[in-house]
Amino acid sequence: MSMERLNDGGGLLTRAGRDRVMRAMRCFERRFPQLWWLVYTLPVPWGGDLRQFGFWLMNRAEVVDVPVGRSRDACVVLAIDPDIKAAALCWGYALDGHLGEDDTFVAMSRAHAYWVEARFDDGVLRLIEEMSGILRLRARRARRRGGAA
Amino acid sequence: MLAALAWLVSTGHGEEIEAAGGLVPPELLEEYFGGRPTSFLVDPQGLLERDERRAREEFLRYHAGDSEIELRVLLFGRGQEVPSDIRVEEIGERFEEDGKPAMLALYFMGEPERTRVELSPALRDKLGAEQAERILEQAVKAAAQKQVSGQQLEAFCVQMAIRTFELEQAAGLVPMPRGSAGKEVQEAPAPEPDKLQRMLAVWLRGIDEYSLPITLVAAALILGGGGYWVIRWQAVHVFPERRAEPRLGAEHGAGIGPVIEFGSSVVSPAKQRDQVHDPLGGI
Repeated sequence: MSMERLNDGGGLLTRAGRDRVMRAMRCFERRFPQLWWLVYTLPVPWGGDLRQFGFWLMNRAEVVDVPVGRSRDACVVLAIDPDIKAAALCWGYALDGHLGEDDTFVAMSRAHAYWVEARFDDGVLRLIEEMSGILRLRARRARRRGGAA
Repeated sequence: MLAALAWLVSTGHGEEIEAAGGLVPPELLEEYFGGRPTSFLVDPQGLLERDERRAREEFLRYHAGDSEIELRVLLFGRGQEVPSDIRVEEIGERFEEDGKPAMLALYFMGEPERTRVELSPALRDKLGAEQAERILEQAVKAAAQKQVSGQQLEAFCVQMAIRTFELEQAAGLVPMPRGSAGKEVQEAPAPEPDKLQRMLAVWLRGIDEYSLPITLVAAALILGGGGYWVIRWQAVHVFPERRAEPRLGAEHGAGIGPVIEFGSSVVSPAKQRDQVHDPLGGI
């Protein structure tokens, strides 16, 4: 499966909304030179589990525009299924030990209010903003601990 | 004349010689009241020093050239009296021989409140005595604010010269300013400053000893806050490089986050969280 890192197959985003999300992703990637986002909005094929589908995207999807010099291990995946109205978040090995389900749930719940109103671009922007705050603190903590997670 | 001359009584600015009290010496009456004097400051007793006398004389001469009313000052010593047989009211007539209106002030050194003012006949006809008394009162008040008698005389002359302009207008010697015909002449209002000047003036008034440090501190805070924001905005966050052991057979990552549903705006996000103990279903 080949895709771009912003794949709005579900048609949830307007053109302006896609531009805004893309700018936010580039801004995030400038502040975190190792990390990058993969945003996917499409119903899960074959009616599978969204969480498993995010896991599959992380490891099997062929992303054609991965930023130069970035590892697939440093990817943060956001998958939104418009049919079942659910969103899932996954991340690569580079963030193992730095992110947990609880603090990422806080970030997702901030975006929840926008997604409920079908303002998907605003929700994604809010999620990226919240994740930036969390990752900034985690990066600082990791430096203090000398690399140990 | 030597008997009438004074002695030195004060020092510093306005250093002058004052005559003793009593009547004006008879031999000086001719110089005071005998005829039209050539100078504007009549001081036969030498009550002022030469430099100061010259300064007052030049001032009065300049005023006479600039005004339609001459101002002449007869200078007497402290406590001196004009002999009773001298009719001061008639003295002004002699100062109008060339046709120019004149105002005569009999000034007593150190006692400005004793000053008498006489008007020449032409002025007296056009103005009432109260006009002259009024400007005399203002000039005496200005003189009384000074401590040294020489400075008192200077203030008196300056104030009289300024107020003479009112007499000129009241006597019809100069055109009345527009809008003030029939009214008492008032000080010309200052031109209305434009809005920018007013704002600048208010701002400059605000810069006092307290507001300047406050302004500097506020500027430092703003600059510091802006600098902090820029540094933070430009900051780059890097995670330590390390390789985790692959899990679940995943090549790139196995970090599984939450799944959150957004089908209802009534139910809270926590209740719409899809949490399972084995999120990957046994992968």
